[in-house]
Amino acid sequence: MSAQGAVRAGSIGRGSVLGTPSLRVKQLVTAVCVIGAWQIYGMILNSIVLPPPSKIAVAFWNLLVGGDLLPALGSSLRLLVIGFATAFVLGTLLGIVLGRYRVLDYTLGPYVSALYSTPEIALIPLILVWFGFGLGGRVVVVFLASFFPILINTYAGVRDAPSHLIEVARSFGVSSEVGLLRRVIVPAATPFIMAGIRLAIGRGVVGMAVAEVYLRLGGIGALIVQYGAVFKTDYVIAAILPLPVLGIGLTRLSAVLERRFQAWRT
Amino acid sequence: MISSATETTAAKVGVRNIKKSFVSRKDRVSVLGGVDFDIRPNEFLSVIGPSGCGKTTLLRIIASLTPADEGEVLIDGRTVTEPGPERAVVFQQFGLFPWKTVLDNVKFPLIARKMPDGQASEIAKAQLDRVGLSRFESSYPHQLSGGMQQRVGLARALATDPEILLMDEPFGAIDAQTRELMQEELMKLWEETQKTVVFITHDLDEAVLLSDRILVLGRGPGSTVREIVEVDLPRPRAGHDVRADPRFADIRQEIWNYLRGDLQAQTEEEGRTAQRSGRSGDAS
Repeated sequence: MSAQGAVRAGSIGRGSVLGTPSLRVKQLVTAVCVIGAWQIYGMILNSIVLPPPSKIAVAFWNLLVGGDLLPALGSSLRLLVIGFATAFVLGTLLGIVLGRYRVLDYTLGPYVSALYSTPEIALIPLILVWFGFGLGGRVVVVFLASFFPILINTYAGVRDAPSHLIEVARSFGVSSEVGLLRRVIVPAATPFIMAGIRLAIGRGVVGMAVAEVYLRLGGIGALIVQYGAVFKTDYVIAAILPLPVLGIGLTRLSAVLERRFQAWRT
Repeated sequence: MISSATETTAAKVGVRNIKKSFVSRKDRVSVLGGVDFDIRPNEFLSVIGPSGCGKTTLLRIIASLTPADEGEVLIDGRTVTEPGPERAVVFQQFGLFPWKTVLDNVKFPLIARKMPDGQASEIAKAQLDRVGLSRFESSYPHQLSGGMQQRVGLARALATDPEILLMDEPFGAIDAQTRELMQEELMKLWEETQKTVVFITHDLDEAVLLSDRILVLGRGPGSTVREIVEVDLPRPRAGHDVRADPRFADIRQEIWNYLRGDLQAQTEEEGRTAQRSGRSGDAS
């Protein structure tokens, strides 16, 4: 009986040990094929339309040691942080208010939905007129991109806060709205808010690039446009590379935070 | 007991002509139609009645979680309209905060009433010890069984040392064997602490086993007190096989007689209503 159990446990263990590397191998083989084909195409045919990975790597290295990339990245990050932080503060506050007060939900909700479904790139000319092309205007673009996922998720989380737990808190002497928010509603909504943050980061990175390309050249966006104008596509791709890395890195970071805040779920 | 007070003030809890109706989409449904009774100090009073008769609504009104349309609730002769530290509720679905540890759940009523954290921890730990869950203080509710969760619920209710425990079918969501164990533990706890308890249940045996008196609510709409039955079984009951006592069966039968007619009438009525318009929600 126990021997049988051991055999079964062993076979499960071996299966998982074998399973992971074989997936890794497949992943690696695919990557080699894609990059290899890309390299060959770029070398043989047209290195302006599709520069080979080797040229992109050189361009990336030049940008890095030439001192262009890091300041650009710093300036982009600053824009992202300011825009995202504003979106976080206002998004959670408005989400809570709309979630708690039916009147505001009914009166303001439609505008939120309308603005949410408008692509912010369509608003660029207006933002330019209203906020100028300084930091203010660019922050507004990042803000608009990240604001809605946070707002809508906070709203949903607050609406979803279990009414029986609100009642429990009331029965134990929590009577003020602020007390209920702090002790029940916001903690109950936290998983939703964290999911909103994760969505908002990805959209914020997009907003950042849009602002820097369409509003005023700056940061990573400026590098992309400058090299694009002179058809240095290897440098264009090298300058784009930090964007997905940034997006994935920040999303991972938020996933770590999410787990920390939700230890009770596992 | 030496007391020169009048009958009204001698009652720990006075329930005075409570009326309550709920407004549904189309009409107004009366749930409680003038409920009137007293709960004596240190008494264990069970409330039993057909489902939908407003047992839970009555408890929520005593807890000041729902306002009554008419009538009032008196604690030691004073009208109450807000939840107070002298009352604590044990909820049917436990009502634990899933994002808080067991210890933080038990601390909740103390922290909510502005007790310093250290002191609250000390009291909460003592309460957890009392219900035998000290080892689980840093677990989260979902990691515990139903019975253990309700022990946490009980520890939390006892944390503020309330005079009155309001228990809303506390063992209804717990499996039968654990329930019996919990009943025994509650009995012991009550015999030690002598709290005034209002205990909502639909379980006849449970009511007879635990109570000093059993209040039978009539069927709705507009339930009123049908009868109050004294349970004159000897105390202490914890650790004894009270169910073997012939009086146990007698009392059980007496209450069943009150309930049976109402249950039959209710079943027939529900059948007719279901035919007419589909089932409506449970008001309980």
